[in-house]
Amino acid sequence: MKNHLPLAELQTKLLGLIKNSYVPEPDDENYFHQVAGSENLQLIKEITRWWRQNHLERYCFFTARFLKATGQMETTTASYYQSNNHSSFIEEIGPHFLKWLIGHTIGLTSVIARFELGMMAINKDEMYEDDITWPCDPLPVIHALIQGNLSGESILSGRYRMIISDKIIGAFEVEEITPTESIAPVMCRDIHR
Amino acid sequence: MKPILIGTTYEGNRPEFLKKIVPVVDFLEFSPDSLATSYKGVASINPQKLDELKSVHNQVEFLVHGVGLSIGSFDGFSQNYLRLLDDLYENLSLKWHSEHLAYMFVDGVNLGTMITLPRNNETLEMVCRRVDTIQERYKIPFLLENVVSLIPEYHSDYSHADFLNRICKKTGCGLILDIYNLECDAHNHGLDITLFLQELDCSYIREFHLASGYLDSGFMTDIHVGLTDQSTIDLAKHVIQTYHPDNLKAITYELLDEFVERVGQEAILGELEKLRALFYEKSPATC
Repeated sequence: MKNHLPLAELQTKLLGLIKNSYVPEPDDENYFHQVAGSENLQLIKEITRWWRQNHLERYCFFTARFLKATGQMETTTASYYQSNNHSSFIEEIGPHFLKWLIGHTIGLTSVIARFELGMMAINKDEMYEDDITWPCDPLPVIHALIQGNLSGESILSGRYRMIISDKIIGAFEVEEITPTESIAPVMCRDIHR
Repeated sequence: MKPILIGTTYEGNRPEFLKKIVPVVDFLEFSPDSLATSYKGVASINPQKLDELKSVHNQVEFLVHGVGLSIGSFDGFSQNYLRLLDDLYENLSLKWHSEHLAYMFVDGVNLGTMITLPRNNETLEMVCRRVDTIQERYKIPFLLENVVSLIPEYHSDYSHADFLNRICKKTGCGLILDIYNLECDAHNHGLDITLFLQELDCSYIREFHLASGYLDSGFMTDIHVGLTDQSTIDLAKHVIQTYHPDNLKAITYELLDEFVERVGQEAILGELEKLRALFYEKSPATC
């Protein structure tokens, strides 16, 4: 019988290869070099990414649609998977993914993730308050995401303030904050709840 | 000889679909992980899903097929999974339960998929110890399933079949033979299915899994997306006719919940009726 690496070492190194946190060293067994260069390893990464994407599309409705519409879905979910120890439960992965996006992206991606995190909390009857500055009018964007037809035309320039709160009927209000004129808060009942 | 029972996977939250499939199956197979929800870090069986199952407990039998036990992790199997199984065990009458012979967690980190084990003495002893613990805890039969090898194999001391035989002999557990997974291993890694079956002690087989997947970059994956291919059905028939798995009790058609609508409820019902016609009265003794 051949000498085997202890299971702990074998599994730890394979985990590192799958998570991109380990590169085989010259004195590692040839097996790890073989796995590192194999199509199988890429397949495993692709399968794990597919599963995460599948779950996130079901759970993070707005954010997933935005990421898909802007061509970021695959790279973002792959990046999330590689750098996080995700839960087995979508109820935990969803909010965790959104918080990660908020911390690791900028612009509209981060804003939409923050909006969705708030909607999720309020839909679960949790107490929630947030004040988000949007780099565009949120209503056409939200509408287009619901309809599944987001385009550049949906993203109208401007700066808007969105207040999210469990105390607001409809969960959020929006007002334009630039340049000089301010519009009355827009009630957005029934868009998400 | 009793007929082979026909059943399918069910993940809950489809009460209308449940009403349709219950009349055409003998059992439902479900995973504790799929029936569970997590709230503030604590996972528990979703009470609505549990009630759904309780509502049909007089019409069908229940089999549990786990995903999250991770029996092959060097640092121990999942205690969270066992707590979920405890819940089901206390609330439902389960005919048997099963898991994949693989690992999904390493040092607490979720791999996101299942990886097969090297077949050597260290893993043999570890798996057998854990099977013993599980069988001690739950007084119903426990089965292990052959899993598709995704990653190139680390050198092993035992063949696939010999390893399964040894685990079953040492612990008294049974086997789920996933017919489609055999096809995947043959396609992806050149597994000789005939040699495998000749070497396997088929008396350990209690259940077949039938499923389908798709080709990704030339690899056959075991993501259960559709109806069973004819080649898989033919192989299942061949195993019964040639190797006489005398303790085969059930055949499960596996389909991921995500694909129920895409495949279509009527097509799923048709698949189950087809399997019943093909296998229900085809016990090994009569083939």
